[in-house]
Amino acid sequence: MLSLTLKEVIHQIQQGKICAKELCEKCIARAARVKELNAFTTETHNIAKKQASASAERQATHATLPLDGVPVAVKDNFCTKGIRTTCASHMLESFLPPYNATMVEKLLNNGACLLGKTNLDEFGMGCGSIDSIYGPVRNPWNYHFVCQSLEEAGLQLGSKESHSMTYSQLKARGIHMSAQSRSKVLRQTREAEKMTEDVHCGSDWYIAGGSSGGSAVAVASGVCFGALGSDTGGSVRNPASYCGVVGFKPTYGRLSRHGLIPLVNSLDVPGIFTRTVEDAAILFNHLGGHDVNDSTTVSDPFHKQDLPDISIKDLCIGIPKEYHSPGISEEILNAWKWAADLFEKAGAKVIQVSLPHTQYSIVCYSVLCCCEVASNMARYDGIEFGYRAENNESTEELIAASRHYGFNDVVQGRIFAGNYFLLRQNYEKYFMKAQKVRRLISEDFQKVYSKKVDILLTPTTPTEAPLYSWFSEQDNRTRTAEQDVYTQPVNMAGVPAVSVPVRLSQAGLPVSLQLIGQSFKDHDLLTVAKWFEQQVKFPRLDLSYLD
Amino acid sequence: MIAVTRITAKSSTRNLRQKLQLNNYFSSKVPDEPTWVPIDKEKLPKVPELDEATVNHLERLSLVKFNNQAGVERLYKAIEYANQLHMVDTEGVEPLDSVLENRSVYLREDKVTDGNCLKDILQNASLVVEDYFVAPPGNIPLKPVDKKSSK
Repeated sequence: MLSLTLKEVIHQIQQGKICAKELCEKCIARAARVKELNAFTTETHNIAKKQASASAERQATHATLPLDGVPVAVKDNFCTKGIRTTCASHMLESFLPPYNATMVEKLLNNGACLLGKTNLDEFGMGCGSIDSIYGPVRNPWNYHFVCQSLEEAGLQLGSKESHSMTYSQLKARGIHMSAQSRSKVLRQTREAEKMTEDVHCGSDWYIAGGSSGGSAVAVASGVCFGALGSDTGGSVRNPASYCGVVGFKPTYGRLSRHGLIPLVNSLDVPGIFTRTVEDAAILFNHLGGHDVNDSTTVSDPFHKQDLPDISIKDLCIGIPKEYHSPGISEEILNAWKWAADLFEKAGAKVIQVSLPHTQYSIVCYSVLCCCEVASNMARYDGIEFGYRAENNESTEELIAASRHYGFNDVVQGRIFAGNYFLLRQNYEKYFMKAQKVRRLISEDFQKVYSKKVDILLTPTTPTEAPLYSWFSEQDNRTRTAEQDVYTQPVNMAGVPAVSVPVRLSQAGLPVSLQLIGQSFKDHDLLTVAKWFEQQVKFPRLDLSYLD
Repeated sequence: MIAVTRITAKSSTRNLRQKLQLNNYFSSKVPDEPTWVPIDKEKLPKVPELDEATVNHLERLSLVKFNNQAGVERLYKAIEYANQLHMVDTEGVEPLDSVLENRSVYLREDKVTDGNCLKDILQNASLVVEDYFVAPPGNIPLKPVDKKSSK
């Protein structure tokens, strides 16, 4: 039941083949089995059960709502009425919002059941979901669960077998190797074995990506069928890519940000995690549209659309050459090339295009992000809400002491940097300069799309999911600069993009690619993504052996 | 002897076929080499020294204390990184602050739509006296901390 798609689950609930209550119980049981992945900051199982009962009653009277009984999870930076909303920060550890974010309200009004709030990097600042006061999120792929270890105690050798198999698979594929590359592969195999041992002993694991890592893991591990995340520079697409699920960032202005605790107002977009592209379209249909509480949602009518099956013969796919950046892995590069060919063989026109300012986008992002963060974080003073320190010397001392405890080093660092860039003598030099570069980045996209290119095909991330031990060697800023190179230009331009898992790497981890569409043509983008998904037939993670 | 030759011949055609497939497999549309321009750090502006006065000023603006030298170093790196922006020619380019700049954004009517939520609002404050938020004395500047003495 838990490996169904959201579309199938909706269908079976509407038909009365699945009882909403039973489904909810199964999801709660799965959540308990995969608890060590640390995907949730707050579990709301009792609330979910009540919602599922209400759904079951509606099922009995055949007056169901469109998402009745569908278990979902929400990133812990969307306000939920009466349910603590923490942003994984000490600052909001006990914050109880008096209202629901519009995205949450829409999910619940359509009958969905809320299983919990998901873990993230503090205030969404990060790309690993490791900088959270609740500890890091773990990727379910290649993960050795404790319950598994208990069952397999004494069978440690299994790991070695699986890795020598990848080496022999290489040989079986007849890949011709020089002595040098053979020794490289052997060395890598040995390193991989060592890594696998660490992974199996529980001391290391693959990161989930971030900042919406908890939502990605909740969907990938079968706890729920859809989840909300937020995407400022790639925070939905990056973890979706690492966890092998679909991650959709709609056009800026399509989904309401009301009740989404802001990180960077001009870049933030609510995003959707599901197992298939069609599932993402279903949730998008129910979430989209103008919101009187968010003046940055556009007021032109939003039409729900099913994704048609298409022929891609008339389509023009652009391959932006600047997305071959230093640091891209062989594995990702090959998948990208393979996918470009796949479109071409199916009859699409595939051309190389240029987005010349791509290289500077991540630098521009770092400046704009810090500036808006410095301004947005000014609201946390410990007086009206949030953590209040025991200091009554003066207002400024109280605020500084509260913020010192309430924010981690990453948040504090971005506030300092932002205030530096915004200093009177630096305002032109950094903030205005970055906004000018932003226009050039945005125009790069417009120029390409005006030349008859329909969709851009790029990698989502430069590598597959890295190991926690490796990822945590460098600071948050360095990792963001590496990991968000392909995702944040999309936020700069406000265009929609979706990460689609494509295949498994030699190490058995998901490899994903990104499709980038044109502003307000979200359904067109998803239609192509659906076609692509049908061709690649990605093997979804099945954890049913845990139940 | 003959059998051995045959096997070799067979395997070499297989190799050849695989090579052909591999070539076919790789699209010419994706560049083979990275396309980024190397940045000559010498050409970038130098990060000015972050003296005590600047640091104290930033602390007052941020209402967060650096506490140690590591925080100052982190700021230095962020500025150094941001300086790459000066490689881009932005002569005559207007700043972009919203991707919706060409659309008229909606403004709702200036009418009260909610209220009577005193209890909801105050429940999140740690200290309340007679429905008022409480703050300690104002207009007292933040005391700077000595960065050098604390590790």
